[in-house]
Amino acid sequence: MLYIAAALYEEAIPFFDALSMKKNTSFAHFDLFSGEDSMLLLTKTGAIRAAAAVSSMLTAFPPQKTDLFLSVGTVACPDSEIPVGTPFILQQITDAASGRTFCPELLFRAPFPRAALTTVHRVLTAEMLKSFPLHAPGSDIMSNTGVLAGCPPVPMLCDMETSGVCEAALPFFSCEQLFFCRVVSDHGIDAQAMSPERLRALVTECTGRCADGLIPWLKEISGLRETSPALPPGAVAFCEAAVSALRLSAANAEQLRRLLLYLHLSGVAYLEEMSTLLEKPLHSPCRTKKEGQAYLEQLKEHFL
Amino acid sequence: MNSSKNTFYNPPFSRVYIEEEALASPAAADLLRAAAKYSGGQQPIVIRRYMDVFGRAHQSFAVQKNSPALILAVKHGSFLYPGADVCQSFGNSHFYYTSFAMNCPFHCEYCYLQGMYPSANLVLFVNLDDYFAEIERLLAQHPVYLCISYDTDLLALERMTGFVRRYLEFAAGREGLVTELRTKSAFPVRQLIFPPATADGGSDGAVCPGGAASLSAAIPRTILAYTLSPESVVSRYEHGTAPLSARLSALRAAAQAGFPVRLCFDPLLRIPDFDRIYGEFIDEVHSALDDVPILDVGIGVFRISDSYLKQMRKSLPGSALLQYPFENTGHVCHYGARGEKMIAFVKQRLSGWIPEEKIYTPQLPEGRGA
Ligand code: SF4
Repeated sequence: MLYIAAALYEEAIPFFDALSMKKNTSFAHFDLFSGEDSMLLLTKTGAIRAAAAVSSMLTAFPPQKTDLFLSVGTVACPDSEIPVGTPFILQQITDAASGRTFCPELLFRAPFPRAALTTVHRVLTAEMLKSFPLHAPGSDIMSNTGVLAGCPPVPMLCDMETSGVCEAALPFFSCEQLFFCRVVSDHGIDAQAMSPERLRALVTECTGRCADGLIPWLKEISGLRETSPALPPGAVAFCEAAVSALRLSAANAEQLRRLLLYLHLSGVAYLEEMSTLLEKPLHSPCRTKKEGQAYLEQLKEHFL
Repeated sequence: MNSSKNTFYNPPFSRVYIEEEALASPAAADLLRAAAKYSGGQQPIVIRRYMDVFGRAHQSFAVQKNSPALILAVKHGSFLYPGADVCQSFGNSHFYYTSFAMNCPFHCEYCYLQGMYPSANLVLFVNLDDYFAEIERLLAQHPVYLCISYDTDLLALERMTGFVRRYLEFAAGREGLVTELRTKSAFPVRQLIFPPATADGGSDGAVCPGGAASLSAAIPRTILAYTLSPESVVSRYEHGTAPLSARLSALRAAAQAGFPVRLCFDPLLRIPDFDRIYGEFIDEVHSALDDVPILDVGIGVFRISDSYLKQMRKSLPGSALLQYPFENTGHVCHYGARGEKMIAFVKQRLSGWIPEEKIYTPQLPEGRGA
């Protein structure tokens, strides 16, 4: 399952189309859309609202180890040289109010360059954005040392939700299941300069540019996730029969199950031999736990 | 790990994190220069404390091992730790261990680091001089036997860090300091003494001002301990480590360069057909090293605390080695009487080559370091 969180309907439109999503009416509190193996949540603007929405979706639909979570949206960029529509994968997310920083895992080769982001708690005008650094913390110090001269600096971005989304999603996932992608939509909102209709269309255009790259990338990553190996059904049935025939305690039953798993993972053919060794108790079950335990010890002696 | 998987992950150490406090360190600048090879010209990510990345909740050690990040940090608090009484001190008193790094570039399936650390990312501490000052303080009181490759494999990292060379420069002038450096790498130790020239005419990594002469005093007091396993164990369970044949060649070269060499058959693993596989392996090691002076030998079986094992089983659920139905005594999981038989078997196989008084068997809860 791919979980997606976006703040605005307009940001989500390209994903509805790409993942054939429909409104999920079974989820009462927030707007949720579902596809075949995906769901998209609209969090609305603001970090607290975003945190509440993400947390409630993940509580209602608990993720598995093989699932992925994508937070996608548009952001302001203090560096006016970076064009509108440029997508980034986030390397650092800082909450301006608390100063708390989270570094998302960057294990996979991403289709977009990296940026750092600060979440603020009000709409940023072009004037306010001027007080923000253009680059990620440390970029200047690094270039001053001359060690990494020529390394392009990492841009800084600002939005109003990401730290909330991140805080809420963290308890439900392992770090490498989380992905944060942001697209530059502006360099500070100038309300007079753009009509609300144009603004909405722009937001959709921006996320549309990254959806095409993100979806196949995440699908491939999800194919890499491995599930835990389990005992084959024949061995499970044998184990259950042996536990009951040997009258094993819970701890000894676990020992037997682990022995079978060890032998299975080691590539040892054991079932036939073990069935022969346990022929008698499987036919007429042990009368005491002690008797059963002696059989278990015999199996360990034989196979380990 | 298959190759299609490899192309999906970023290369190891392609992400470099650096603590604010480490930014001003000249050693950090050297390390950043060395790491630029891996990071492909990407800016390092500046963080407040290394635990902000290393200590994050909900990390997956096994998945991170596909592409560990590098974290440059400044070490605070204790720099050296006294070895516990039960530790394998090979008869040395005043036994201490230390680590200039946290985590290892290799990935042995039985490695306790998977249970001990929340992350597979590699932390390098840049303030080696603080370690050296602490060693000086101890040396003023008594001689010191110091294991410096705990919780990592320093020689495997040497091309990137130059830490061993820096340490040997320091150790050269300290008479009372005996060092153990444990490895599963095949790093050519001559490069510690004669660093290869780089394209810009300098040496690769830290500079050794007096060259071979300044290091030679440290060499007889620096024990290179090679952990050896059968090739089938190396290829199946010791991911990324040097093949057995390469370790044996590196060991021979180390002895020729004057380093005392130690053989570590630790951990012995309970694998199907143990007697045949380990028997042939000991014979192979014997015939390869028959004419090499061996300082001593350590033998130990795999043993691990139950809390670490629980974590490791979660991290590597498909590892046959970790799913073994161990016995648990005082929260240490072990092979029980079978383990004692395994040690006796290897000891017996070594007899006729290694005198008994040169063979040590530890009672350590778990094997430490490379
Ligand atoms: S070489 Fe040692 S420290 Fe490194 S992974 Fe293997 S056991 Fe762990």
